[in-house]
Amino acid sequence: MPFSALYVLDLKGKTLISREYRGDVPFDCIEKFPTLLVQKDEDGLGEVPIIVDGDVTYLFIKYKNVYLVATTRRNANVALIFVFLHKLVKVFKEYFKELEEESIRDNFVIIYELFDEIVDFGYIQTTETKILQEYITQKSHKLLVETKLPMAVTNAVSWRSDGIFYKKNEVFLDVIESVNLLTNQTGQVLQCEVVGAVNMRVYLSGMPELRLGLNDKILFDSSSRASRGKAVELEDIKFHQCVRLSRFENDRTISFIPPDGQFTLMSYRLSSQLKPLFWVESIVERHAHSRVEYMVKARSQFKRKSCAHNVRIHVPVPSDADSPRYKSSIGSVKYAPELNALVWSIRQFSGGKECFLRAHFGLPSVEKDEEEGKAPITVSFEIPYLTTSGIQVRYLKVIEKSGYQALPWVRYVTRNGDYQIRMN
Amino acid sequence: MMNKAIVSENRLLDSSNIDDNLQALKRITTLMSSGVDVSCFFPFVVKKIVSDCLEVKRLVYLYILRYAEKEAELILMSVNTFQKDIKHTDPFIRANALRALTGIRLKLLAPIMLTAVQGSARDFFPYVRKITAHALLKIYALDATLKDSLIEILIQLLHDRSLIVLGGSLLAFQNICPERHDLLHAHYRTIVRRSVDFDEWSQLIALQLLTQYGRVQFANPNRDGKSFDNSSSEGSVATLKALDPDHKWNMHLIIKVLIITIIINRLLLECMHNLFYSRNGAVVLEVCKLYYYLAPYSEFSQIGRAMCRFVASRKEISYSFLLNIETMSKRHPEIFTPHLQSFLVYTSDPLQIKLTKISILLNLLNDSNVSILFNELKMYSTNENPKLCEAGVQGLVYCVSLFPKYYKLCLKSLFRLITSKKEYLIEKGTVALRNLLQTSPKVDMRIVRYLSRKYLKGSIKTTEAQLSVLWLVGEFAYNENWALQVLQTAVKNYKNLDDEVKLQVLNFVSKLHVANVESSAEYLEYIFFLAKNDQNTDIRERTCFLSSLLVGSLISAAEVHKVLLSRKSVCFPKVPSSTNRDLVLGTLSHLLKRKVCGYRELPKFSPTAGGSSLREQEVRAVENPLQEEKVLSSAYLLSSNQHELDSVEENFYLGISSEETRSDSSASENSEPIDYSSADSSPTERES
Repeated sequence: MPFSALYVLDLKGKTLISREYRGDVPFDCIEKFPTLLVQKDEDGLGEVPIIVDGDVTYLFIKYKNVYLVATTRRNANVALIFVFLHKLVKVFKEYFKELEEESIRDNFVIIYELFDEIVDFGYIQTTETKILQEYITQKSHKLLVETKLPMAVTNAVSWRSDGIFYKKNEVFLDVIESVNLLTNQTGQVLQCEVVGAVNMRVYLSGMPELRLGLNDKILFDSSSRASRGKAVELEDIKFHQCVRLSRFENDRTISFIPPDGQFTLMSYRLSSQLKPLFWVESIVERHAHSRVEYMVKARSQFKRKSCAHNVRIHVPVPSDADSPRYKSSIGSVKYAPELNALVWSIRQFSGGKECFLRAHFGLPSVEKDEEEGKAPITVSFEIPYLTTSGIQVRYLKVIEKSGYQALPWVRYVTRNGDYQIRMN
Repeated sequence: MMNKAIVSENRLLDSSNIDDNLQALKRITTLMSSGVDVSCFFPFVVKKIVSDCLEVKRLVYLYILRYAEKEAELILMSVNTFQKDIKHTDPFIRANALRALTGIRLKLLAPIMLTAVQGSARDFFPYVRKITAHALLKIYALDATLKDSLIEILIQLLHDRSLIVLGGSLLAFQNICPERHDLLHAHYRTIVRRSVDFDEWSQLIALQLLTQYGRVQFANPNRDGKSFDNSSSEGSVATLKALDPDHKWNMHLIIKVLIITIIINRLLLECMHNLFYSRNGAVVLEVCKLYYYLAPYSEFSQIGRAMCRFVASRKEISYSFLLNIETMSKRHPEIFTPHLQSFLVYTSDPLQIKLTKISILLNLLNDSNVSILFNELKMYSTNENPKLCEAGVQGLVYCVSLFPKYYKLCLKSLFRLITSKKEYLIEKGTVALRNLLQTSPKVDMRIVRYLSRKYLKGSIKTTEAQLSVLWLVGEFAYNENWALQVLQTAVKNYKNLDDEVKLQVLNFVSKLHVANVESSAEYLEYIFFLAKNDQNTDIRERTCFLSSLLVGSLISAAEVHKVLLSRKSVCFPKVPSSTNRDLVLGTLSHLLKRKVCGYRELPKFSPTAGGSSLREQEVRAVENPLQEEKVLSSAYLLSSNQHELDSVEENFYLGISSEETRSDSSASENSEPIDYSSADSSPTERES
């Protein structure tokens, strides 16, 4: 399970910072990494995040312009290491706003200390930024005569420390849903699911106890309060560590002591039969060696009173197409040769509407050898004040010893996820 | 230059001003972390260990850890300070010092570390005790002979009430003495019940341990392929009876043992069930493993849902989940068939994920989803990536081998591939056609004819495709008159062919010769002549073999015919697998298909599950004996009604969980809950 060393490399494979934990893998084996990476690409293994060289295994992720690499020669838990590397990215981001080469170069000492605190002898100790920040701070702090051990370490609540104070107590709740859609060429929906997340930003003093009420169907059924509006059935709920799972199991109440600041409280998924929010149909007429014509129809299939913002529809076109001509009933169209696509952007697209686009491209008379594969039409959009699942926050109770008033704010957004419509 | 730098840093380190020291140390750390060798500062830095500033100490510790092995003697001089720090009044310094001391990889220091650990295991602060637990395994890695004294301390730490200590000591347990399950019996229930409250990384350790523990200590819930809940209790009674032929045990005792086993297994699964909700992928994977290895088949459905959630996660995590799903779905496709959609290939997926998804889809093939999957595979087979295309084409053939009614449709889509202009499509299509024809009971001669016509036209260029065509013609169409034309073309290009194709041409010409095709003898002679002088040894060998078989052979013509032209045995295409099914899931070994250093086999289920009494006695010693008695007596009365058993189990633990609920009650003591109407029913929108 343990890993031997951690490295952060730049894009060329030069080590930016490294920390060795166990000494069972030669520390300088990382020098081979860039060569191995190139070799792996040549072998056509593309994006496999694991390289094996002799008995040393490199597991890595790429983030922006750095690689994070862990090496091991033992029987490691693969998922654990990948989850950990992503967590590490998160910790760095919370410390330095952004993780990239520059921010690492600026913070060698802190990162080295973090490496020491997060991992001990190749075993992960903690990845909670809130706790880490208790003893590793940007500014050096001096030892007072009698320091208190950070409460977070000993507390029952490991994710929140004592003595937080805000003048204005506020809670922000963002319910963000992204829709994944996949259809086949005949227009049959293969997959349509909603992945939702409840993100919170908590600015509350003391040790508040929060209770969140949703229009959860199971809760409604059990308490027979179904009269108040629609209830939704949530699947695959994942909670932040702070939520008392046993209470949720028993009576479906979501109660928790929140960590300070920003975090994702829960995420859920819905894969029951949903009507796709946007439907795009396309007819392609291809006259080999001379021209190709597109007719695209986009339809919004949500309530009229909602309105989608920044809708972008990418229609793939052949890479050797030329002399574009297009006309659309609404919005603006741009030919993006670098993407081999036609980008149709509509700033405001209200529900229950249909829009059309006609496009015409010339094709060279000499056809190139390789035909490209059929890329799908992709759609990106954002619809505020709407949740596809129908989830609603019914209440958010904040209970704190001092009994202050807290202001909860709620916002709903639906976005596109992987929204792909395969073309004929 | 370097010298100058050294001098200036040393001056700063020697200064009595803490800020100066810190500045110098930070510069040294920066150099060290970027890989520069700064061991020349060692004596000066080590001196600073006596500083009272926490920050300075931390940096010195970091430095020492990096260079300790090189400067063993100098380290010995600072041991004294370490020992002083370990008894410092500040718990934070104690913890840091202990961690640094045990992190030094010098065997010489092991006894000193042991003494230090013995002291700090009784520390007042849980955090220090947790570091102590970690220290145990570091000492063990350094000097395995100290095992016994380490285990003593470990036992002490396992009794700890604090969760972070328990998490740490489980880690130590796993590394020092994973086989000593007897140490765990007493803590088993605490670990199981409180697993939700552990931090995520300790949860992982606990889950791994419990999986191992459960395999040894519990009865197999799926014995004889049946589910544990309904039938195996009788089986276990039988086993117990068999163990006890003289009926010395009374029947009550047997039932007691059994019921407790059931309860315990249920307790484990139910408590772990909560962890399915975790947001940490590694934890979820570990729970799924625990269920996969310990739960009755009837509970497997939960694995599917939990795992599929992570398929759309980050690509590395998604990849490791898919590999596990692939292995699981091979044996238990029913877990994942309801979640088929999760495995459909997105254009934006990386190649490796696409391929793994396809082989999972093939594992999940059944009557109800074959129509969807067939169309999907058809789409993949026209993909621009040759590897994906190959996987799609192979999938189509595999599909036909399971569902022969798709033969025609498959032929149609393969034909579409062959008629395209892209070479790799033709290649994959031809190879797949050969596979398909091989498996079909009656060979459709029109296809062979079509392929050979394409070959004559020279539009089949790649090696694999040529091999397939030649083989097909030689195997099935040697009597047709156009077979000779194919031969002519092959002979004409013989010189420019690949070695593999040359071998096939040799076979082909021999087959025609055996079948007494007119004028094949001349070709045979010509090709044998060329092949005999080929550079490649394999080709020369083959020529030798064939010529002795055909020309002046010792065996009869009929037998030669049999050697070359008997119908070959059919090999069905298999789903390619990227993992090894037999190795423990989720490990690196599983992914690399070979046992990596440190790999541990999962123990087999023990034939008898009598171990539960052990757990029970230990618990009795620790917990309230009265309550235990009550449970047992009520357990006697119950038959095997699972519901009631569960409620018994709940009552059983009410007494213990009081300390857990303490924190909750303090929060709810608070007078009036305040309801904020602004969030109630109508959501408030805010300016973004």
